[in-house]
Amino acid sequence: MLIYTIRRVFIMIPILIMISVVVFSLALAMPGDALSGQIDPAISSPEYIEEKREELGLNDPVHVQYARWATGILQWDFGRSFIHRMDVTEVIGERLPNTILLSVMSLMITYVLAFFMGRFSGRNPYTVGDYSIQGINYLMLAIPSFVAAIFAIFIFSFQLGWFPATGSVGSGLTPGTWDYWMSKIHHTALPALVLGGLTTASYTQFLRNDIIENSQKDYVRTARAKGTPEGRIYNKHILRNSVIPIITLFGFDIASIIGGAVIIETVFSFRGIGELLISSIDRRDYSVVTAITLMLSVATLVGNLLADLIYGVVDPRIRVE
Amino acid sequence: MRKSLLLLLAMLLSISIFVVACGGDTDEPAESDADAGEEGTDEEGSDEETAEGDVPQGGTVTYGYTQAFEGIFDIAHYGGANDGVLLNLITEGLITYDEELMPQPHLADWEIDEEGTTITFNIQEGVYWHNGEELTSEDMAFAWEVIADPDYTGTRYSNVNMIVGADEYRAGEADEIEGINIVDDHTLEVTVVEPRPNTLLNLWTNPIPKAHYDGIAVADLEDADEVRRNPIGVGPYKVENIVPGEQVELVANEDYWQGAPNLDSVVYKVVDGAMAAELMMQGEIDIVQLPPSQAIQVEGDESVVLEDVEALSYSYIGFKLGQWDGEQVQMDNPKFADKNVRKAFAHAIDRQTIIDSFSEGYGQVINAPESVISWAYPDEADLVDYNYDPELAEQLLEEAGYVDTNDDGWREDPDGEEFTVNFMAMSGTDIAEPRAEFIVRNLQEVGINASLQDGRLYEMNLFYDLVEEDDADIDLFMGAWGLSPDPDPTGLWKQDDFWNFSRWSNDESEELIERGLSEEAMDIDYRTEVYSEWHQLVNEELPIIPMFSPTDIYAINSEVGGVSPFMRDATRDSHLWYREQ
Repeated sequence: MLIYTIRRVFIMIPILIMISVVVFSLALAMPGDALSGQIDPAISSPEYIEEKREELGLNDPVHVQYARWATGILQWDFGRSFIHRMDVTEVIGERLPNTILLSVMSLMITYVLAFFMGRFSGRNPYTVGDYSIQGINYLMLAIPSFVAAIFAIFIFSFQLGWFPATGSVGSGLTPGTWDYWMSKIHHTALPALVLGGLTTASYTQFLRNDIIENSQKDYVRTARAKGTPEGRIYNKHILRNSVIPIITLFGFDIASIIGGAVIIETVFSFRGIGELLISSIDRRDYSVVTAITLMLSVATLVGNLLADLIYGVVDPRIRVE
Repeated sequence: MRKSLLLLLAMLLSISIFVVACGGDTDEPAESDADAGEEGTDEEGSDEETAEGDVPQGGTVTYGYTQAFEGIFDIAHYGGANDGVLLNLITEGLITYDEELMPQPHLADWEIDEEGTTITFNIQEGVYWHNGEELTSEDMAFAWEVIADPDYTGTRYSNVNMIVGADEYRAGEADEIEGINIVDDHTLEVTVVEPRPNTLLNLWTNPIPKAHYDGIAVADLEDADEVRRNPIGVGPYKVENIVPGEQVELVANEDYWQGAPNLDSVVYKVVDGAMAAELMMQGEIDIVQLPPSQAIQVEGDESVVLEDVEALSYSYIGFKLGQWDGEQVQMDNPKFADKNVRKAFAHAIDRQTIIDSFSEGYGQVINAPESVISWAYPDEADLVDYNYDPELAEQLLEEAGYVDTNDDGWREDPDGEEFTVNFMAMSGTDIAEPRAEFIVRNLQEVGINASLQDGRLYEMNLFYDLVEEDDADIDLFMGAWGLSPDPDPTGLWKQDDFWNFSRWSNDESEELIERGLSEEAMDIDYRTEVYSEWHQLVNEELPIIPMFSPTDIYAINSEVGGVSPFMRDATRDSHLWYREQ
């Protein structure tokens, strides 16, 4: 197990290097840079822009720029955001709590919805209820998230007025107080609902199929033969076995916890990592774009690793030496 | 492994989708940067009367802005208008501008000596920073020293380099700037290198709090908590709380020098641009600038008042007349060398209809490259009006020798060669594409074989990359410029200006631009005359087709009064804002 883990970690290194090359060259391949948006005689001049480009090293050959960037990252220096005039780590650090709150809330919503829907479908397979749950699930999976977000804003914010439409916190609140956190949760609820509601399909199906499969197993037949009540069989014996594989899926969610939802955050003007990524791309703030993309790649890799390891723990057959 | 690669691919894919999608939020760069105007005048006059009487006191107003702020809340360091709007609420400068963009005394009045090189500022007494310190000459001198400092990280050096000794100070050769002389706490003399009629407009006149920034190295200022978390100014509102990138809560400055504001507090809130009109009608924000497409949504809504002001910008279609040789403009492209062809193009394009159908009528057709609010905008009677006249356009083309010789439906050039025209336009707004296609169709209607370059629009960065390097495929390009209050065309129009994108060079124009900055031009009538002549020259030579001067539209909650949009935002006289309870 230990050797397996170490081997997996080592394999990640060349992958990371490859990713860093791709991320960097794609960022560089975008036309323009942070300074090209400043073509405006009222605030700057061509001489100033040229001087700044030289100073920022944007005129250096690509490999020199890459080497400088990669060396910086190895020393935990992700550079400075040209737009925000702050260290990139600080810019990201400011947004991360919002994104994590959103992701955790949406994951909780996904889990809860998937748990109840999956359990119902699994217990009553091939019934009208099962089919309608499946229908709803796939419908939600098919709706693009930005469409769902716009409809949610229109209905719940504008028509019913239940949730605020933009932002991540209300005004006039002191950070750290109860009201402040309630306001934060209130602001996060609608995007989390959209985000969480749309992704229940895979979890629901996973749980449903597992329950159906388990209910054919010998131990269930034994329990039935002993006269155990049906409810007890499902809630205790089957559910416990069926939930475990789903827990392992959590590894894959780590990337989404950090990455949040690029689209949803943008639609809701929710100041998180996703919204930062989009606005930074838009304004050619390379250092932020590369740092976030790299961070998401690492999170995906680590998440995969975790998922595989948890599998090994849960199912000894997967444990490879 | 396959899973991770797939995820990465998916991620990159979604990024590329968004590069396209997000173009929709940004306007052409110059346009977005320059907003503003004048029509709030009569409105404001009546407000001032009421302000003297009894207007309701107390309440909160929420100022919406559609782009997240960076949080660099120092006037000498900030970059974009997103930070600038907030700074206008918390701090003020020595001078301000009147309706015609002429400088007016504000925190100080000034005298310029006979030679025109020494300006003496008399700073008002009784103006206090939010930390209780009085505003003195030291604060103004400090601002100049910071900007001229070798470690200065902002972009304003061109507003200080005219002071005697600034270059030496910046090069590290001098310990102080020679041209600054602090006479006493409220009197300050500054000497500039040469007399210029626009010195006062170009000179930096926004003080920064010296005592507040005490002990912070110039290089660290933009990172300092004193700028980012606890900024101060001399304006009517004080910063109470900052939620980075989202909102800033402000409270009234009871010690404001023009009297305490009517309101208790102001919230500066970032909102999604696409939802601005809806949020306005919901009452979530009280003041916001709207694009025309959203303004028509709120027209007729009783809770919202619309105010429109002419923007300090203009858009244009440029002809590529030459190229940049690294030093200066070489006007060597024969394609549009005949100015009658250029005039024919101008007459072929229906500018009024473009404003009416794509900007809902918000905007004004112009015939000179200047904002209509500027005092330097020439008298229309002196200019040729390039009104929509396809017959005249055809006639001009025919006279110039552009006729259809091979019966393919398109005109050939005088040598009988195919005459094709590439039109390049920026993507960004939802109207960008139909508008560009409309212009192409206008040209096709008079027999010009025009088409969109590569059949598509260009994203802003790529657009300017190609325009800057004089890409050989570009014939016509549609751009926009934001303007500063001073009408001097230097920077965009001279032979050695890199941003002279149409690559037009003309000796008479050079001479007029220089005359506009000469000592004689200290006389405003003379200067107006020179710029009028220059505009007539450009109007006749037509290196660009001036399209229109856009109108900025502000939506204001009908319960909120005293708001007067001007120049780039609606923050002027914000101490007079009030809210009916």
